[in-house]
Formats: sequence, structure tokens, C-alpha cells
Amino acid sequence: MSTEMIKPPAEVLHQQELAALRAADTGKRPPNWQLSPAAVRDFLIGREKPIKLGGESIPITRKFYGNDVLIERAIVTLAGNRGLMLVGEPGTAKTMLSELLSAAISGTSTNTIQGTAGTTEDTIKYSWNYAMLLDKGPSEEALVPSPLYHGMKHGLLTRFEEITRCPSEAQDSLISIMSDKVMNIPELADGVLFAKPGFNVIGTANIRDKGVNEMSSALKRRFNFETIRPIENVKMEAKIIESQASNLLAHSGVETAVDLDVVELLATTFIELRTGRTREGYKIEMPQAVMSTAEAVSVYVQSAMTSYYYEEGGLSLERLVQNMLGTVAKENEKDLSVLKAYFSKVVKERAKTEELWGAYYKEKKWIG
Amino acid sequence: MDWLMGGSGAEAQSWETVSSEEQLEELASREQLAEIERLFAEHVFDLKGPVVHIPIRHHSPACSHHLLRTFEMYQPDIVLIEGPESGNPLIPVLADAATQAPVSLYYGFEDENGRGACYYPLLDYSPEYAAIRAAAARGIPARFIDLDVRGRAEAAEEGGKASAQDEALLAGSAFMARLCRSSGARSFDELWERAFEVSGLRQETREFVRSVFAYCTLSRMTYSPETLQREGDLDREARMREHIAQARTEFDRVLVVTGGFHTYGLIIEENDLERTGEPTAASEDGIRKQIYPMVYTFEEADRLNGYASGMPHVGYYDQIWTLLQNGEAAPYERIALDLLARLGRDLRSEDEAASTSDGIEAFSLLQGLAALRGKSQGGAYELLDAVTSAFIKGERTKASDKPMEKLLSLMTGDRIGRVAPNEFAVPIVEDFKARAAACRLNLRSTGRHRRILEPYAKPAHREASRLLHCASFLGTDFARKEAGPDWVTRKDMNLVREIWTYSYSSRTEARLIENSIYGGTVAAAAEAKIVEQLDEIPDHHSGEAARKLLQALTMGLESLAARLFERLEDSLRQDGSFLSLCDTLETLERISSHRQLLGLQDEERLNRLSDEAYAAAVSRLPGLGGLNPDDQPSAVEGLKLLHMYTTERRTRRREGMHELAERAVDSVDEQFRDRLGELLAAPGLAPRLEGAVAAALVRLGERERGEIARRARAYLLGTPDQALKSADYLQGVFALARDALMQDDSLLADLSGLLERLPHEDFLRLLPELRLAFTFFTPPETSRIAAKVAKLHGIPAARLEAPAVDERTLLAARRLDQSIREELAVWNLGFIPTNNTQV
Repeated sequence: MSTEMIKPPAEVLHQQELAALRAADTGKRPPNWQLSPAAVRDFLIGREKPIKLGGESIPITRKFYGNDVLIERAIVTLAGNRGLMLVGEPGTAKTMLSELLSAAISGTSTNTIQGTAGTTEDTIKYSWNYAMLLDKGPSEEALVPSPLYHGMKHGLLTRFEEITRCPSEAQDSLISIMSDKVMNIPELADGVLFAKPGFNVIGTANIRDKGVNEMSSALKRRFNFETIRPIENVKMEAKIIESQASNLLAHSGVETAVDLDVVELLATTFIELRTGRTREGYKIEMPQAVMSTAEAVSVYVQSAMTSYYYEEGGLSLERLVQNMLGTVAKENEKDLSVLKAYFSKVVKERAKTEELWGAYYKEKKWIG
Repeated sequence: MDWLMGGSGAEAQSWETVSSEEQLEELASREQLAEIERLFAEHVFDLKGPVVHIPIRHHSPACSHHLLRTFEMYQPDIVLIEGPESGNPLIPVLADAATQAPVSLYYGFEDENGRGACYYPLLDYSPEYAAIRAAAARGIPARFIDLDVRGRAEAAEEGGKASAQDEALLAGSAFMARLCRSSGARSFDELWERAFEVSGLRQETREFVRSVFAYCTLSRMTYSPETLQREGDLDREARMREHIAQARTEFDRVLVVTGGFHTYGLIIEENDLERTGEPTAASEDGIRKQIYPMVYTFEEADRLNGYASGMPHVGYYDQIWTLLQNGEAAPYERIALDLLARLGRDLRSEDEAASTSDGIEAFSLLQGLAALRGKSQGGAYELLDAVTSAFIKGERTKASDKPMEKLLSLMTGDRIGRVAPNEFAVPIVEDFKARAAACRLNLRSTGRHRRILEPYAKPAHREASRLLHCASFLGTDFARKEAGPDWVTRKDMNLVREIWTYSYSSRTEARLIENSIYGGTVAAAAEAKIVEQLDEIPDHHSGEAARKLLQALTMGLESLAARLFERLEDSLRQDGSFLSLCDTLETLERISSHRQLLGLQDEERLNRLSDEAYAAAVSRLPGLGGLNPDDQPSAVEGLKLLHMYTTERRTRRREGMHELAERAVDSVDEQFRDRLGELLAAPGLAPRLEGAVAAALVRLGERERGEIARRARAYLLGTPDQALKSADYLQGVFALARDALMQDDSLLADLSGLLERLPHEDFLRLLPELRLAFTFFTPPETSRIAAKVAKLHGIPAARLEAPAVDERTLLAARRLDQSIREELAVWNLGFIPTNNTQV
């Protein structure tokens, strides 16, 4: 794998931390796990004390903000017999959580089935290299393994993204594999693949897609569900935006410091529009668009990059508001008027007392 | 999951081993810890010394467990317990084998500032209760040593329901908050369970007591003496120290069982305490207090239900305690298995999807979570988490949350305690229980029970109905009538069954105790209360007095009837209102017609009262001349009642009546006729009353039938304003004499003729009121009247069923309309769309 990539996988991004945890980990590990459950938890929610590794002190940072108990339940589920299904609103870091879990537990987060409306049973189980099939007949060499196949064979976690986007027929091919931990390959003579310990499935499903391809109850029974809720705490949201944005900016070679005040302003705007309540407790209109934390991060990164390349100096609020429009107007043009109303009510009020909000209010001109 | 087995390595990271020692050192200074260590060794747990302290948390199975072990080791001569001093006489009752937890001491007090009450709940696994029982088993004395007046401020704030075992200071201390944060516990309760309940079972008693003491003392140190003084803790501790000193002079080995928060306050010398200011506890003069043992319920004891004391999930911990007593090594896992099985069964019985495999998955999750969190067994929080993961399918919403609700209610339990028979028992409570048992009401489990009663058919049900009526009248929150006849407001009187829901709780018992000032039995209290209410009714409101009589009879207070009759007689004489008197008469008639059901003995007196009410109402008839228009409909109803009473009584009661009485009755009847005549003759009588009076007189044979028609004609042919009143008049007539129109064809003919002569505009104005007047008739009657009117006009009856305009006419009209439009269009006069015509 080349070292240059747009978005390095979790196991590369947090290589050092994982190595340090592995070295310090004395706990019992479930078979084929890279870390003990307690160390996996620490990897996700951070540790107070840094770990010493080869004379270097490596801090274990918090990577998932929100419900810590949910993390514990998720880890224990993965060590057990059932799969883990993460459900929630779009942009609630379901995918990130599933990446972090697989990186910590199996050492890889790339063993992934990316669910789409076009996913078939073949993409889930295995397919054939037809040239070889014609040449040699059905054999292991001619078989093209899917990530699920790979996971079963090597005892790795397999991630299944956006499972509810897949047609029900394709989803259901998981049912017997999940319960029997066996895949039958009738084309081969001794065609039975037994799952190696350590194998399990982490699925993610978007509840905005509910009813599109509802999971069958047979499949639901083979998963434990965890519902991930959007963050409702400005400080926490700001922290996520800050850490993710600085990561992304660093990887894109943009050398600029993250402006904490702007991040907090952005987090406040997003939380208030998402929940329909201002911090003073007033009710406001909610846009149809998904005002998720992930969207906030991308608005920030976009704005920071535009400012970096086209302007001297740090991020300008002008760019921030311009980029916000793209997020808000995604679903419905009417959402722009919701944003406009937010500016003329909430932002204007705060502009009277807070300087930053005053500058923010001046950029209202860019909205529709 | 073999990574779960023998995972001593996994626990290296755990809270239990690392945190309890290391965290303490991080959170507290070395000097503090050394001081605590010294105090512990010298003053708290010196088994050779004269006093041993057991710091506890209220309602903790682990504390009880170690308390009993300490009993074995120390062999005390007396046990002192944090509890209200006044409760000492009740200790033998609590220790009685017939008393079953949950029970509670109910402490009520009253002073110039008002009333208040607090509860001191005791569960089987409460260390205080375990101490009382252990002392009784050994034949050594047990004493409560705390002040009584604890909890008064709270009592007022929480609407009179306060617990004497408030732990707000311990659970809310800054120390505990830091500890929760650094150990990842969601709440103080989870922290406590992890640190003491589960791992505490495997610890040596000395170690366990030492850590409880250390944690509680460190919590306490985060508060200033001023706060402790303000909360009343210092005063209480001073009192407890006095008791301990006293006991030391009497006994060689004294065991003290108090909340761990107070232990520090009890062992240091008086002068070491920085007491500020004077004692704040109110002086006890002028306080009337009462203290009783009473039953309690799991539901009330569970803090999750909003009562501030002890731990949540009481039913769960109670089972843990039972298993512990039986020597079970891993009680938490046993209970988890048991609850998961019951949860699955209960969910399936409600058609929820819950399979055995969900249960298996949940149990393995429970073990996994316990290992991850460094617990030897999964406790309440692991169980809750496991069920969240394994049982809830799909997104967690209110709709999918059923398994959690069910689990929480299973963990709360539904038990109600029992108090042994005792001299402190409040007679009214005993009476209530005895009567409830006789009526086979379920007082042994919580939850709302439902009971359907048929008081008319079954004497036993009649008894039950009376008791339930009494209970709701006394405001006990015990029972609620969901459906059935409402005697007092006269609603749903056609129903014969009563549907009640009820649920017993200490609240009911407390309300009963509060009612005990009224009397020693439920019936006596209800009587006294109804008499008290009656005294508040002004003397001349006989209607309300009669209702109270009826209410008393529905509660089966027959014995009270004589007094109520007397009172009613008085009111009747003073009552000058026609409407109120009619109300009284109606209530009395209702009682009379249901006298069997109501169990009324003195029928003669009832009849006499009815007669009296009747006579009084008749004498008030002339007053109807100047009646408020709003009261007219009730006055018409009153007239109807009086009329029915005259006619019906004649047939009903003539036989067996004394000649003199008969004559008296006749004279009242005669008065009735005379008064009605006078009323009719009086000028300015409202049309509606005029109609009613005229109809009554005609029916009594005092006037010709033609009178009704004649008066109607007077209205209809009068000035237009008067004509409008004719509908009012007819309403009065029909209220009393519906049959007038049915039997008297000439009246009908007259009316019909008069209406025809009305100008169309006037008729339209009159129409709504007329329609209202004719609603007195039932549908068959209406069609009969219509048929008669049709006959008068020579129209065949079949035409009545036909639509007002036949189809052919409609079609013709449409064609005409169409052609006119076309014609207009030809002349370019423009076709204006109909929906714009309004503009």
C-alpha cells in the first residue's frame, strides 16, 4: 500500500497508539483479537495517562465522543456470537466507529463490503475469475473472495456499510452465515468455509433509509443493535470538529491552525439547526437537510482550504457562510430561508453582545 | 467466550484492583489517607474496644452481609441504629417474625407551621433491619439513636412525602463526582455497585468496612462545616454521640450502625468539631407527633420511582440478599439468569418477539461486560446493558423500548410488606384491611387491580362497593371508579355494574392514618368526615344535604341515616328555594326507589321527609313568577317532578296510610292545584313556565284540554314579538304533557292552522326554537304527529317519505337555468361564474 493517500485508514492513522496499546496490553484477548476488550475501549475513548513505548510517551486520545457505555456494549457484542449493527441518523459517526473498532480488534478496517442498491449475493459471498474458471474449472484459485469470505477465512471483522441500501435478497444471504458461521461453496469439491474465530460483522444502517429495504426480522435477530444519537453538546461537537478538521487539513497539506472560536460558532449553529432549539431555549425552524457533525467538519475544512489557497491569513467567516449554503441547500431550496431566518433572529440577537457573532451576522448577505 | 475465564490478566486494568487504591491516592492527600487509616484502626473497627462502628449505605445487601459477620466476630451487648428515637417502642414489632419487609416507620408531625410526614423504609436487606433482627435473635437490645425531626423541610417541599434516609450529601459530593468520572461509572449507584456490592462480597469484613469508611469520609470532607450544620447533620450527630455515650455506661460492647457519612462525625471528639452557631434543629416543643409501623411497597422503595432513599432496583437486590442468605456464591449471575428467563417469558406472553437465543446472548453479554469492567459478576447495570443490546431490535425508540420497561419493572418488584399484629397498629388501618380481605380485594401486590362489581345482583359486591366508596371519599388514593352509576352527579344511572381499579400502597395507609382523627374504623371516619362536610353546608341548602345523605348511603353508612334525616328536616324547613327543594325531593325519590340497594331501614321516615319536601316546594310555587330566565329549564323539571309525585304517590302509598295522614296529603295536593292556578293567573309569567303550569293543570283535570290550545293561540296570533315566544311556551307544555299533542287532535289542528297563518319570515325566525320544542318527542312519536298533520291537509302518508323536491323538478330547473345562461351569453350579458358571485 502506498504511503500517500487521501484518507488513511484508522489503523494507519493511529498506528502508534495501537502499537503502544498492544505492547502494554496484559489483558486476556478473545481469539484472533489484536487487543484485549479493555484496551479496545481505551483506544476509542482515550486514557488519562499516556503509555510509554520505547522511551517515547504516547498519549491515547479520545476518538469517539458520546456514549461510552455504548462502546463497551459494542466491544462485548463483537466478542460474542452476534454481529453488531450500528444505526442512527446520517453523520453520527457510525462508519468512523466501525472503522475504529475493526482497526483495534482485527488490525484492519479495510475489509469492507460497501452496500449499494446494486449489491448482489455474489459481491457479498464470492464470485469467479471466469478466465480461470474456464481454464481450470471450479477451484480455489478461480474463486474471487469477497471481504466477508476473507474475514471468515482469516478470523477478521468484516464491515458492512449501509446495509439497508442493499436489496433484501442480498441482505438475506448473511442470515445463515451469521448463525452457522459457515459458507457453503457448492461449486468446489470440499466447498465448505468455516469461519475462523475472530470473525464477526459490523453493519451500519441509516435510519433515514428506514422502509427502503427494511431488514428482515430473521436478519435482525442475528445482530445486536446500538443506536447512535447525534451529539447535543456544543463543547463536545466543537471538539470533534476541531480534531477531525485538523487531521484532515494536515493530510491535505494545509498548514493552518484550527480556529477554536470559529469551530464553536459552527458547532453552535449546527446543533441549534439540528435540534430546533437555541441555547437560550427558543424554538426555531429546522432545515430538512442533515445538519450532522460530519457535515460541520466538511464545511470547516472546505472553508479553511478556500481561505488558505485564495486568501492570505486564516479562515474567514465569509467563506464559512458560503460553504454552509451548500450543506443546507442540499435537500430543499426552502432550507435556505430557514438559515436566513436563523441569521435574522438568533445571530442578530447575539451580534449585539458578541463580536464574533457580529462579524458572522455581516455575512448574511451571502444567503439567497 | 473463554477470554472470560480466569481472566486475572484482564482485571489488571480493572477498577477493582487498580482504582480503589491508586485512585484514592490520586484523589486524596497522603495525610488524609493516613488520618483515615488511624481513625479506622483506633475508633471504628477495634473489635477489642468498647464501641465498634459499622458505616453503611442504606439498603445495601453487601453492608448487611458484613454487618452480620461483624455480629459474629464482635458479639455486641447492644446495637445502636440510626433511626428516629421515638421509634424505639416499635422495634419489637419490627423484629417480630410475622413482620415481612418492606415495611416502614411512618412519622407524622404537626406544629404551628403545618403538617408533615416522613418515612423510614426498611427492606429485608437494609442493614438497619438486619441489625434489628440479629439483635432480636441474640436477645440483646436494639435502639434508635437519631433525632426525630429529620426531613421536615423536605417534607414540606415534596408534598409531605420524604424519606428519613436522604443520601443527597453522600451521592452528590464532589469526591464521588470525581470518582464516577475517572472510573467511567454513569452514576453514584453504578459506582457503588461496582465498588462495594459485587466485589464487596468477596472481601474480608475488615477490608470492606475500611473502604466504606474511607469513601464516605472523603465525601464528607468535601463539605464545609457550615453546610453540614445547615443540613442538620451536626445536630443529629451530637444527639447520636449522646446516645452512644449513654450506652457505653450501660454495656460493655456497643455496636453502632449508621450511615457511613456520619461515622466520622461520631468518632471524633465533640471539641474537634468546628460547630458553628447554635443548634438549628427546631425545638420539639409544640410539635405533635405520631409514629407507626406500616407496610411499604417495593414500588415506593425504588428510588427510580421518585422517592429519595436507598438504591434503585429494590426487587433485584432483595433477591440477591435472599440468595446470599442461602450461601449462594454467585448471586448476581443467578438472578440475571432468572430475570432474563422471566423477561423472555413475559415478553412472549405479550406477543413481543423475544427468543431464548436473545436471553442466551444477553447472558453472555452480561458476562463479557462484567469482565470488561472488572467485576467478578455482572450486576444490575450489566444486566440493563445486556438487555439493551440483545433484546431491542432496530433503532432504539419508545416503540422498541418495551423490553427495558419490562425489565425495570421486574427489577423493582411488586411486593407489599406485612406488619405483625401489634398494639401500635392504627385501628382504622386494621379495620380497612379486614374489610378489604372480606371483600377479597388484593392488598398483597402492587400494580392497579381491576374489579367489576354488580351491587344490584350480589350482596357481597354491594359490600365491596360500599368499602370502595368509603375509601375514595376518605381520599386514600386507593380506588377509582372507572365506570358505573354516579349517584351524586346523577350520571350514567342506567348502568348496573361498577368498574373499579385500585392499588394498595403505604400512601393509602398513610392517608388512612391521617384519617384516624375522624374515627377508629373506616365507617366511623367516613361518618365523621361527612358530618364535618355537612356542617360546612349552609343550613338552608337542603338539596346538598340530601346529596350527602345519598352519598352516605352509597358508602353503607346506614347508622348515620337517622342523624342525617334530622339534619335534612332542619334544612327543609329553612330552605326557601323552589329549585333546591325540588332537588331534595328528587334525591329522596331516588333513594326511595333504590332503598333495597342502599340498605335503608327507616322507610317511613324517608317517605315523611319526601312529603315534607314536597309540601315545602309547593308552598314556594308562587315565587316562580320572578325567576331568573337561566333557571327556567330546571324550574320546569321541578314542576314535572312535583306533578309526578302527586300522581304517583296516590297509587303508591294510599294503602295502609293513616286517615289523618291521608287528609294531610290531600290538603297538600289541593294546595298544589291552587298554587298552580294562582301562578297561571299571575301576569308576566314566563311563557315556558306558563306552558308547563297549564299542562300540569290540564293533566290534573283542573282545566279543560282546550286551555293549552287557547293559550298557544294567544301567543301565535299576538304581536310578532309574542308570536316568537310561542315556541318557548310549547317547550313548557311538551316537557310536562307530551301526550297532549298525541291524544288531543284538536290541539294539533289548532297549532297547525296557526302556524300556517304565520308570515313566512316570522315562521323562519321561530323555526329553531320550535324544532327544539319538538325534540321532546321520540322519533316514532314525531312520525305519528307528522302523519296526523298530513291527514289534516289531506296528504297521503306516503308523500311524507318522499324527498322534498322530486328528481324531475330538479332536472327541469337545471335545464331552465342552462337555457337562461345560454340566452344571456347570446346577448353578451356575460356569464358570471357562481364562485365569484360573492365577491
